[in-house]
Amino acid sequence: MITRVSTSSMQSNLVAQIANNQNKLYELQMQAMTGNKVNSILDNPVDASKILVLNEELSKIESYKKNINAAQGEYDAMDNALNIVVEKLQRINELANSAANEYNTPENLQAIKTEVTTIKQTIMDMANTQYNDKFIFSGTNTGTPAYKMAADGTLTYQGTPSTGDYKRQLEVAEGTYLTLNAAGDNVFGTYNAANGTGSGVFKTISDLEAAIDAASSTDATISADGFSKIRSSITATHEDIETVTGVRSRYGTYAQKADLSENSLEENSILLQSDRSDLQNVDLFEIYSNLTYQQYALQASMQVGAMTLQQSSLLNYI
Amino acid sequence: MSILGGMNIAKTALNVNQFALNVVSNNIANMNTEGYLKQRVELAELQGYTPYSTFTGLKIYRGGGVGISDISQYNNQIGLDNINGQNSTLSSLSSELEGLNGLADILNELGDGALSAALTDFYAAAQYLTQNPSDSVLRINYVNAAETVAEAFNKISSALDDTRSDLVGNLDYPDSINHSQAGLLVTEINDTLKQIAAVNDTILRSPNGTNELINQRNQLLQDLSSLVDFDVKTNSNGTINIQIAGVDVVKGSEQACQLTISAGDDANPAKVAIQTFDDPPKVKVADIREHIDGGQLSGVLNAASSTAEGITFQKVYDQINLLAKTFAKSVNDIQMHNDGNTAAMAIGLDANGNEILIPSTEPLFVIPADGNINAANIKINQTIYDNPNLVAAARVELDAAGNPVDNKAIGDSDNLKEILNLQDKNFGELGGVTIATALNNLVTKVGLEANDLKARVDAQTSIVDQATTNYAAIGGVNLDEELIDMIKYQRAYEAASRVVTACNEMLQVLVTLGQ
Amino acid sequence: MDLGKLRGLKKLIDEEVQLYSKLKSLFQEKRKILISNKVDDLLIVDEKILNIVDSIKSSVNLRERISEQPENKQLTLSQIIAEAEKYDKDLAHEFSLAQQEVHTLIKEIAHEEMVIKELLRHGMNLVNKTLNMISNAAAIAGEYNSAGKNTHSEIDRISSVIEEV
Repeated sequence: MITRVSTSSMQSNLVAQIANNQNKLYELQMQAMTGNKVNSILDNPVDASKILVLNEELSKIESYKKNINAAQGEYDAMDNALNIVVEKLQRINELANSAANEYNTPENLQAIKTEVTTIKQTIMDMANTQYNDKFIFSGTNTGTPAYKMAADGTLTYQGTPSTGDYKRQLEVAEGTYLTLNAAGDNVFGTYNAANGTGSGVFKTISDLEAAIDAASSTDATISADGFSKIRSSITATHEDIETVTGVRSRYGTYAQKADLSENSLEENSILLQSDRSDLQNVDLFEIYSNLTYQQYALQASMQVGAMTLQQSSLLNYI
Repeated sequence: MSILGGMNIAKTALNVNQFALNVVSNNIANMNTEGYLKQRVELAELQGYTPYSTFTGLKIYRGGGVGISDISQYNNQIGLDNINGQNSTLSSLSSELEGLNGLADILNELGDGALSAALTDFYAAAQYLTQNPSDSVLRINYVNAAETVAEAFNKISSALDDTRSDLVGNLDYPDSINHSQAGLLVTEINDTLKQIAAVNDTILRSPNGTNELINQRNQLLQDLSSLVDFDVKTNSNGTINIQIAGVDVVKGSEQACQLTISAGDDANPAKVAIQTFDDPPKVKVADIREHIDGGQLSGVLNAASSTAEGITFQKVYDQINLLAKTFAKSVNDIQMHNDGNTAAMAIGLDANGNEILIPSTEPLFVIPADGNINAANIKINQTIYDNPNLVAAARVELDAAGNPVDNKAIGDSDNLKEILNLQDKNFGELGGVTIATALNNLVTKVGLEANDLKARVDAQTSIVDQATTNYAAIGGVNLDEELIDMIKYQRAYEAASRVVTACNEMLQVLVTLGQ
Repeated sequence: MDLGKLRGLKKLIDEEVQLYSKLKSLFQEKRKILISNKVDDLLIVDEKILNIVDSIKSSVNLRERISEQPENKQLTLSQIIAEAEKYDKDLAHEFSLAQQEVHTLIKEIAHEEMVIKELLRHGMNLVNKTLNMISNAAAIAGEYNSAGKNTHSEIDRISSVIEEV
């Protein structure tokens, strides 16, 4: 127990207290000024650490959003192109029906063939659509036009084959990718004029052209054969329309996934950003329970589709 | 019995009390002097003579008045040692704290130009490039982002370098060691030891009146305690021995050894030794760093050491270098990947001027001659900077001859995918976490440690204050006490002078009796 | 089965067709809601869908009772058409048209359902990824108490010797 207090030590205590209070005051002023509770890693190291992690996540979300926009742009371009292709194929269908009429004169037939050839060129232009300087149907050969037409009418696909590594993908969530492109050869096919082989849209149209030429012949046998081939191409065109529509539908679904991703990310980044300005553990858990609720709702929703299609008598109408 | 004898006795009282008042006045004058210990006057009865009494026939002792036996001051050596010990600890902790605060400033990841932000932006640039891998604008963006990462590393490294040079000099410039903090501390310590030896010498040669000298020596000891911790042994002749790291550096009035500083190695850049003054000097302790643990010297040497405990400055430096190396090597490996099956591909032109894939042979970050990239030398490869098409975004299969199966696939972004995977890759050499997490952990640990240390410094400051107060409580000057003493001695003086007056009057009577 | 019953059946079938039409638009609505990520609306539309399904079920039961079929023996439209042929060709033709309309509606609903399934899967994926993100952030911060990291920190394990990466 101290019974004597030297004067000098009393004074030094007082000075120390004043200094202490001044420090506290300065700290509070700093907080008020910047509006940020954590200015330096010394203020609150644990919160500072969380902020750094959240900064990283927010940057990733921004990247995903940019990717989604790019994806949406390309899906739009593809959809427009494929829309035109379907329209043109329907016109080919009409022309084929017209040409199938055996009362057509050779002049009529040739007139039809001219339109068919023009449409073939238009479809090739669609296949060589570019978006942001990339040929979208060329797989990863984005600098090369998807199709080249030789003088003899051979249509060669120059892009990455659909059997190869043709996909271009963008990351829209951690480890989740959306495929942007369809391989051209799957959509449009090819045609070799030298031996008449090929597949898909271009074969159908090229065959139709050849068939019309044959039908225009003065030789009865050749002509008959020609008309028969014209009739087959009507069926072929139907199939082609289905193929292209199928591609359009699949990528349409991807586009909708992109839209969903956009909305989901928008929500989450708002939540994460509001968390940053006032870090408390309870905020993170609030978001956590919010997301768990979403999870539950989505799962329950999955059941509804299954119930609808099985339990109703939909499938019993034959 | 003589009246004169009585007057003599009173005279001693007058003298003594007057002297005592001088001592009190000296105390009051020095009450604010640092390290001054209150001086007390020790009074004792003077020996008188022992005459036979003619009246009683007995030997009667008669006192001879009062004298001053000693002017003492309360020199509590144990108390002093305690204060000095606590002070050493405080100095070393404060010095450590200053170091950590400095580190926190350098590593301020919440500020602009931070390394973690640069890393995040780099990955964002890679992600952006996947949208259109052959686009030149996006490639430039990617290269710029890589450069920003390198620059952020450089900035941290150079700041850390400056701080380390300041602490223990720079191994590349041997002279810088003497001007560093460690060097200056060693010089100061040696000076203080010399002064202590000198005071010891003076004390030895003046047997009386050593209070001021002892105060002076105590002051020097306190100064020394903030520089380095030591042990004191008091000798019977009033001198002291001082031991540092178990070795006698001051023996009585002689400085037996001195501290020397020289360049060490990367792990411990400065080496402080204890040597004698002989020629050639005998080395008593080659490296005192592990034998001392108090004082600024200990703080500075530990901060600059890779092998000391806890978070040292050097360890942070090493970790930052490791991060730079890991990052640069990983990115370079992906940039130039070729395992015979798949290879990273950059973009070049074919004979017709069309863009095609060409093998990627340029690293993104310059690889120095010895192959070691660190935070100081990490730099973007100028060749790629000048031609961003050399960035390898694509990764394709090779045929049997080692050529790409399809060299037109300029839209491939598989190599960029590998770069993006680095974000989540755990590295064993970083402790099994990602690069960003390792950086985050480092930064947080520094912050937490600094806060922790601040609390300890605050606590230790209280301890030192308490010890000082305790010591001063006994030995310091209290004004009230001095005033009371002053009155005491004044009264005694007055009383004594009345005795003189009384004796005088008696004498007067005697003298005039005869008239 | 007499003509009267057939006419009654016709009315029922017409109502059922309306229900299927409504079902189709609900599916379209559900798809839009999924894209917009409004989870609360999702639960509402799901309930509406289930209600319609119930209505269809009761309509089928009613159909069975009118035609006096034994319980749980479904009367298919094809069979109805065959019956109607015996009495009134026009009526049969109308049943025929109804059958075609239902076929079309079924195809469209199935298509919507396929897209919805894809969207649901994608949505769940996104939610899971975000949950991971959140728990990572919480985990990293949670490792620290006021004294420092609970697990042994990396920096203590790292030696200053730079190893080969």
